[in-house]
Amino acid sequence: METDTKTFLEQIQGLEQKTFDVFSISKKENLKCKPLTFKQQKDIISTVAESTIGALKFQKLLNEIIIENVGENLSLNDKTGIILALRKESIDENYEVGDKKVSLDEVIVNFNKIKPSFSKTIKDELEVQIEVPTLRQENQVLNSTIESFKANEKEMGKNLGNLYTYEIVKYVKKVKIGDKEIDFSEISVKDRVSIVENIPLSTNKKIVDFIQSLKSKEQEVLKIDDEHSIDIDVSFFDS
Amino acid sequence: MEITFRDLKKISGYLERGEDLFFCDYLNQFEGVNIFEKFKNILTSWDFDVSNSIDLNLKGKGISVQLDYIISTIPEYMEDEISVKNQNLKCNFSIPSKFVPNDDILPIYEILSYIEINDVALDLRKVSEQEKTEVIDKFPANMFNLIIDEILKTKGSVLTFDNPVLEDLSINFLTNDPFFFLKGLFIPYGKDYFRDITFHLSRRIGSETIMDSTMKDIDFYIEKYSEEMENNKNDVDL
Repeated sequence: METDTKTFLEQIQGLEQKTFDVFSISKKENLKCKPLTFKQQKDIISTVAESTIGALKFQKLLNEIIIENVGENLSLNDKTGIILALRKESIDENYEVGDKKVSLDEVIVNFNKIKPSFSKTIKDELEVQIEVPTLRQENQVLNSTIESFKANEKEMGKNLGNLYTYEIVKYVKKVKIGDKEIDFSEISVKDRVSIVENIPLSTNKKIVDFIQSLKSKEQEVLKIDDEHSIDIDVSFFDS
Repeated sequence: MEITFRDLKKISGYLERGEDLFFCDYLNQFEGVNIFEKFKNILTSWDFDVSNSIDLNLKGKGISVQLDYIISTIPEYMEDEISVKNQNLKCNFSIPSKFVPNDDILPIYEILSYIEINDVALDLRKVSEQEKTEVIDKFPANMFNLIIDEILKTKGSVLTFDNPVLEDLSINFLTNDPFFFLKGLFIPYGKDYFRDITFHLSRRIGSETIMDSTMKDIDFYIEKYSEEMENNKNDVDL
């Protein structure tokens, strides 16, 4: 039976409503998630054309997709697990790594066992409260990073150095020197970068250690063997 | 439609600046109800006006192939609608009616002509471009991946060659293969080539005549000019 566009879109809405369960390790509960749409997959694949900025846009897009498809602004701790589940449900539950076929089901089960860290306070010459950001908070920093890269397109070395700073900026919640305290959510990302650049190296190193400890838990789950691991990049979404 | 020196010079500029839209506008000027027919007519005009052969890179080697051989193997008609069905979803695809710039493997918005979900159908040829985009963008990704697999497997819309030298060459008219093939045909003519020709021939031939000539005409003029130069040189030596 032929119909008009509006009625047909309602049919497609029906397909979108076929949600699946994803486990949030930060909330310790199952959430409903809609499958990837054609446009979302197309947008993901198109980020490959833009090199370093494309990689940043890719991360930003993943966050937007999770927020849209789960309907919540989750913690960054949940990102990889949900991405694995989206890929499994929307494309294929198996993924080829080297010459091995990996079951994403098993990887997801292992990921869901991770006990996430959320925050830490570092007390040195100054006090820095660090916290795992939400997806929206990460996107706020990614937006600024992308703009900075575009403005300094030809200065690759400077951009790569800035990438390191921006990564630290994502996790800093507050900085306190004596009785003066700055809440990073109340200042621009540019100002946050200026502050982080002036934090003592020893303190920054502790922040990086915290970030690294989070990432190493994920890397352990994504590791297949000594030579291979699952890389969450554009090719992960290319059927 | 004749392919002139002016056309090639203009297209060379478009391609150098990445202006694929203007290149597509040019290709769409050729006769044909779809890109398959236009493709055949473009190759026929190329053979007549530009060159009798084309250079291809196959199996890692560059080879020169006679265009009249390729044209002779292109069928009169190509199956221009295929159906893909999976559980409650059915889609029909048609060879696009015109060339459209597109970096994706599949020009999905141009080839999808009909969709049916749970017995509810939409003829995409009867809706606006905006509505078509809205519908297609909301498809589940897994359906899109199924579509890609089916289109890449289909034989009805694919041009292949029996000759063992060309066995690696295939052009699927539901993908961007024809566009990329034609781009490869036009792209070798760079800015310096046109400047050289204009500079040397304009001493003997008016610029409008040069612009309105075909490349075969230009080749003829260059040959004559070279002969003349050679004869003049010989006269001086004597």
